[in-house]
Amino acid sequence: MREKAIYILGLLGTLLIVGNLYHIFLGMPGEAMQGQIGKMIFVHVPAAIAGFTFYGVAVIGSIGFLLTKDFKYDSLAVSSVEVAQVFALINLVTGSMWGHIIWGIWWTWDLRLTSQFMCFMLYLGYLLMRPAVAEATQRATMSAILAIFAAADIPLVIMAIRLHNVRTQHPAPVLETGGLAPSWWPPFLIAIVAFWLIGTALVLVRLRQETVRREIDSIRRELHAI
Amino acid sequence: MNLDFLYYGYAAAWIIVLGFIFLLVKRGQKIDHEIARLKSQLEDKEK
Amino acid sequence: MKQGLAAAWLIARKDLRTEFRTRDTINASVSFALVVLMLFSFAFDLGREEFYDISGGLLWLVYTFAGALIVNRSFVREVPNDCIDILIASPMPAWALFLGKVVAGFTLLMIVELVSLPVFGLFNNIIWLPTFWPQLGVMLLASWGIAVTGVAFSAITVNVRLRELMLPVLHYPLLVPLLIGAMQISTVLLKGQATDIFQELRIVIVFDLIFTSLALYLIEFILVS
Repeated sequence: MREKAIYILGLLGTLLIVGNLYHIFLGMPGEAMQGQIGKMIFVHVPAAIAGFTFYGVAVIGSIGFLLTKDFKYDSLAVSSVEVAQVFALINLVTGSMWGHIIWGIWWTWDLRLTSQFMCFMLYLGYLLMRPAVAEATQRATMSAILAIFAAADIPLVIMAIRLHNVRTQHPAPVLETGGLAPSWWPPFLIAIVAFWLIGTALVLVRLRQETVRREIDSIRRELHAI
Repeated sequence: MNLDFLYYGYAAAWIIVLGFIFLLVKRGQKIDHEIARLKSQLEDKEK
Repeated sequence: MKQGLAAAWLIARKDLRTEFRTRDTINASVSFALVVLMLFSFAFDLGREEFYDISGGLLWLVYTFAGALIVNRSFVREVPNDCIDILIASPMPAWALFLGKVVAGFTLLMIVELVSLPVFGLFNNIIWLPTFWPQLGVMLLASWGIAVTGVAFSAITVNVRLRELMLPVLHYPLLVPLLIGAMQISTVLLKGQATDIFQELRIVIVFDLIFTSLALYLIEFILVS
């Protein structure tokens, strides 16, 4: 049953994306101020939204583990963090490329890119830490706390960077030029949904791997006991 | 030129996602292999 | 609650007393701060006026690196002889143990900072005396944030391989908002500007409040495992 769900979700997401791409590239004119490159928004922003959604899921999983000690939640947390990192990376790379075209620079310490980068770094620490702890309960507890700390830090990071940019009087360029044209909303929303679907499919795949891993651990223990 | 980079951007997104899927698949194969090995070890020991 | 606070104070005194007997951590930390200050002097070739622009940033970089050295060892020093198990098994509430260690770490950190500040001023010809009291205020607030998060991470990573490498990777990104605030305030103070630093101060205080309460609440989960 789980397998089917994964395939359906993945397929649906991919179909949506392909349909969307067709519409974006062939059916739409360039954006008024930015030309064709403005269409990057259909990848850049949905990736950010999907990323933050899955970070949120990870935090919920982390809290769930701390409360119930059930490893299901820990598996959910780590799977979600990994998928969120993928989307964060997409956001950073497309943001960098977009910036290169618009302003000729590959990177800028503006609010959005920087906070996404900080988020990426915080959860990168999470992913780096996990293999370094041998025991499963310790690893899960430690990861859960890290995830919660990281999530608590993000609003502070956003506040601080916004302040920093204002103070240093280098208000770095912001990627969006304001509202979205009405005809642009459907592909945009479809992209978000598609990313959600694909992300969920990936999380489910990863979840299954975690279950298998736990099975491996228990078999190993059995082997040692014999 | 604008359009080129748009393609690069979308391509980058695809590459990253496919790369992750590739990693998942590889990891999946490794643990499937591992669990098969362990299960056979378990059976041997039980005999 | 009162017993908890008394226990916390006991732990703080114990840690500080142990530290002052040998003084090894604090010596290492102060030496490290001095070395980093020296390196910074070679790294930057700015005129005196321009240096003030980066003064706050540099100061807090030094404090963070040296301070992390101190605080990250908080729980690790209890590992030999299984002291940590005894502490956890004792009737003292987990938050008291944590609070005691944070107070001890915070005190050591303040000592290192107060020693480093004059040296910083000396090496770089920075005049810090006129604004010392507000500067002390910032140091107190931000160092508390470093101490709280550092001791928390020390507890988390007690059993982790490659701890010394992992801790900076985990700890420093978390400190970014705190450091942005503290660096900005310190720079403004050292430059003698009349800028309003209320918002930076607010970030530092909010950081302290959020992470102190979060750490106190979660420390039980950390220590039990």
